[in-house]
Amino acid sequence: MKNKKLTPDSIKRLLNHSVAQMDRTTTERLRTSRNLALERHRALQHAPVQAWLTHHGLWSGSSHTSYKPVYWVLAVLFALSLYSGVTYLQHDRDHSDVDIELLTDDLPVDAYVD
Amino acid sequence: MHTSIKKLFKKSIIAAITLIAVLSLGLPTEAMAATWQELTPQQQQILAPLANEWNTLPKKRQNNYIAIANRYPSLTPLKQQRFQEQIVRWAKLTPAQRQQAREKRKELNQLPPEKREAEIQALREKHAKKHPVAASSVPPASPTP
Repeated sequence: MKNKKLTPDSIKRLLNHSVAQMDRTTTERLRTSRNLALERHRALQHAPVQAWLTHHGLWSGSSHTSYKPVYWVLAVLFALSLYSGVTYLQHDRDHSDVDIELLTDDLPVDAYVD
Repeated sequence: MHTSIKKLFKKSIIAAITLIAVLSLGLPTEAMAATWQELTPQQQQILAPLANEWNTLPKKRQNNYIAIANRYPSLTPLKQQRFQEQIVRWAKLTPAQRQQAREKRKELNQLPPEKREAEIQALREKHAKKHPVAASSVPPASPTP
């Protein structure tokens, strides 16, 4: 078999030649697939975040499906840790406020534990 | 495409840092826990009744008292006087009793003003019966705090 060096032009010619030999049904299916791919490409250009997620496997590309469960879990864990951190600090401030209230009130502090 | 994603990513990071910084403004500045010797003379003076137990207190609690000592100068003279009286009593309470007092105070704070005053009055009377001399030593409420 003779090895020919493939150039963009030669590939183009080969593809055109091959297309000419395909039956109508196959070319129609190819056309439909191409149009669908172009549509998705255009849609992703308008949604860079979704494109990034799709590129990294975090988004399936379909609007009917959602994120992978593991990312939901991570998001919930992140939210919980943020919430618990803020609550922890808030709790400290509450203690300080309550202590000041107790220590500056005219009601003796030991009255609370009689 | 990748450039815009990177820009978006950077913007998200900046937004997150800004958000954390803004949230931090609403939270108290965490004072660093310290040994008794590391406290300022003013803090030592304010917290003097707690000196003996200071180095055994959990760091979180030390921070709490440091925060209180730092707020002391901004209190009115009457409240400062009460504080000096009360901190002595406070120092005699066990950690569990202090916690009990905090919880009770928080409960009272949840009540409507009239009911809260009634509860406080009941506590005051009960305490006065048990400790007739001690109850009268804390300066009473002032009409203009």
